This record gives sequence, C-alpha cells and structure tokens, in this order.
Amino acid sequence: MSDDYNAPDFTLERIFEKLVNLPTFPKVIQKALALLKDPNSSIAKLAELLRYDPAITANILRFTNSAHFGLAQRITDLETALTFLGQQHITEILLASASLPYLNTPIAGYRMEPKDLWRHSIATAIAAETLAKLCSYPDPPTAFTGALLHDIGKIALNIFVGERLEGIFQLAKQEKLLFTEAEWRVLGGDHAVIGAEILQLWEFPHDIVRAVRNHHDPDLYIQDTLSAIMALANILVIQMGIGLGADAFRYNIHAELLNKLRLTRADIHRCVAMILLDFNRSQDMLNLE
Amino acid sequence: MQTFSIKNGEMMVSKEPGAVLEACSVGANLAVCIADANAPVAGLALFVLPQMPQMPNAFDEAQERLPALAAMSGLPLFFKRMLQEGLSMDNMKVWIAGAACFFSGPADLSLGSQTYTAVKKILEANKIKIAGEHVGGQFKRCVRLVVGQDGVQVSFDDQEVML
Repeated sequence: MSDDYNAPDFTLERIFEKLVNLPTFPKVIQKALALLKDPNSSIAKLAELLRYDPAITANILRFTNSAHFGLAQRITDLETALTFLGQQHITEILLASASLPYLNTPIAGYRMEPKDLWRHSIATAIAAETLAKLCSYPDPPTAFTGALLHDIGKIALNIFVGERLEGIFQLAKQEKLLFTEAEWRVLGGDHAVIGAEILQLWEFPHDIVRAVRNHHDPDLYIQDTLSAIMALANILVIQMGIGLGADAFRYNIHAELLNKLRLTRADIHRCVAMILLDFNRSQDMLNLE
Repeated sequence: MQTFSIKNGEMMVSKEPGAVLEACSVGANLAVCIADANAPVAGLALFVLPQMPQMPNAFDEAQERLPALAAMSGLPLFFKRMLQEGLSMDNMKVWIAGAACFFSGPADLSLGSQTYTAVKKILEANKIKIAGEHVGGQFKRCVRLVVGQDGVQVSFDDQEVML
C-alpha cells in the first residue's frame, strides 16, 4: 500500500473550507418545518408558503391522490391536500422533495449508482421512524429527518475528493479495515463527521447533527438514544441490501445496541417486515423505481 | 431476452428459455436459486428473515406482498410453485448466495446467519443437496440465473464467480 494513505494531510480541513460552496438546504422547507412545529400556526399559513413552489405542490398532490389512500375523488387543491395528509406525511414529503437533488446522484467512489443513495436514505428514514415508535422515542419525525440525511457527507466527499474515494475502498478491502478507519487514514475524517458539519451549516437541530456524527461510531452511538436509533436503522437497511455502497458491511456493531433500545430479536424481525412494506409503498408513491 | 429483477421478499419462477432472473441488492438477505437440470424451468427467491414475525395488523399483507419474506414459510411455497411449473425433484439443483455480515455484532442482529441457518435446516430436512453456495463476507452481491443454463453467476467487489 502506498505511503500516501498513511501520511497525515489536511484534506478534511480543505473539505470543511469548501462546504460553504454546497447549495444550501431550501429555506422554504426549513420555514415549512418550523410552521409545522408551531402550535400557533395553521394549514392555511403552510399552504400560503408552499403554493409558490410547483415541485412541492405537485409532490403533495401526487402523494395525496396515490393508490395508497384510495380516495374516491381526486384532490386538486393544496390546502385540502395538506389538511388530509396531516403533519407526519407533510413532513416526510417536504423532506423527501428537498433531499432529492442532493441524494439522487451517482457516487462513484462509494460504488453507488444514481438513486442508490436516495433509496438507501428513504429506507433508513422509514426504519428510524419505525424504530423510534417501537422504542417510544418521543419525536419519531426527528428520527426520520436525521436518518434521511445521515449519509449527506458522502455527497460532499464525492464532489470534493471524488477520485481519492476509490483509494479508500481499495485500502479498506486490502487491509480489511473498517470503512471509517480507511476514510480517516486517507482523509483525516469520515463521511459522518463531514455530514454533521454540513447539517450544522444548514442549521439543523443539534440532536440531529450529533446523531449523524455518531451513526458509524459504536462508542458514541451507544450513549445517545437518537444516535442508537439512527445507527440501528442504517444497520437494518444495509442488511436488506437497499442502496448499498462499497462500504456496506465494513463496520462493527456495538454488542449492546439492542439492549440500549430495549429491543429483542423478535422486535427486529417485526421491524424489518414493517420497514419493507412501508419502503415498497414509498417507492410506489415517490416513483423510486 | 427478458430480465426479471427480484427484490426483497419476492420470488419468481420462469419457464422462458434464456430469461434472466437476477437479484442485485443482496446484502444479508439470501438468494435461493432452483433449476431443473433437464428442463427449462428455474426460479429465484430472495429471503430476508428466518421466520414470519408476529405482526397482528399487517401479517396478511406481508404474506401476500412478500411471499419470500421468511424462509420457514416462503421456501416451501417456492418449491411448490417450482413443482407446479414442471420442476422434477430428481433433476433439481439448488444454489444459495448472500448472508453478508458485519465485521462484528450481536447474534440477534445477524439476519443473514439466521436466514442461512433456517434455509439449510429446511433443505436438510428434505434431503436436498446444495449444488453451490457463496455466503458471508462484508460485501453486497448480484446474483444471476439464466433459465435453461446450468449454474448461477455471483458478482461482488469487482469479482465474479460461477456456482
């Protein structure tokens, strides 16, 4: 193996400097999410904010009129659709719409085809929400949001150090390293650290930033419930083979992860079945095929 | 020639010579391929769990939409469909691939190992031999089977093997 991989460099610092050049997360989505959490807000205010965004309006109407709900009559009005959907579905559609431009991209260094990261992220978000409900975590939508963006750091790495990612894969493969170890050796950091930095720049809540930072680090995710949920969601989706990259199974799992969340083997089996059913529905509705 | 993509919990049986059955998202799940050595009939099922979980509100939906979700209930169904399509038990060949695993982790989270054990148990109980297998490891796989041809192609980490 070349000495290059062992030499300390300042790649991570250079990536951090460039992160400000990434397109920012849409402000209209941030505002809409804030309205959804505000008890003094209303559906009318939300509709007023979203009606000028044709892509979001189209996605909301398409989702509302999908076979999933089986409506006898087609809904064509945004405010009626929002009222019908409710807070959780609206949040999910907003996040999915806003994330698509970032996540629906090939990431050659991680051997991911177009839509792989998108499919993996949607499935992990569904898994995190399912697990959050099962564990009685008080804020399942936050688990969904964080999990949807948990691998956002891979996109930044692909943009800024694209060709060196192949070296990470080869290093991990040849020396049988954890993928994060190989990322640290080559870049001085891993995609989780970079993802957390991006979300901090985009002013996401601290608990989401922390969970994204921790999702591949067993010593860290075992100390925090949201981080543990996100880590387990990712582990289950990897096992289901959904949108896998080159890093896939090259990680360790903390031996106490299930105990931390008070889950049993039977709970995990039930979760996997529920995640698959929900993921298949989401593919139909979001045209992920 | 037509290519059929099999996803988690699905099974497909084909009698169309030259048709390709493939599962390209094989992680810890387990692809079971069955073919008749003397007739153009083959099938591929992608199992995810060892047994059907208890889920009072969605059990029927899971069984209907994901017939190969669980090995214990799905594998007998898979054999039944193959036999209905003309598979001869005497000429049957079975290959399995998948069950990838993390470097380390608790057994309760090792879905691949659990599903592999369940499949092996069913095959052994019915005295069915495995013609070839490619399981374990820290990588995803793509599994391909061509109706009417012998063997199963497995791609992983820039490599390819024929079982």
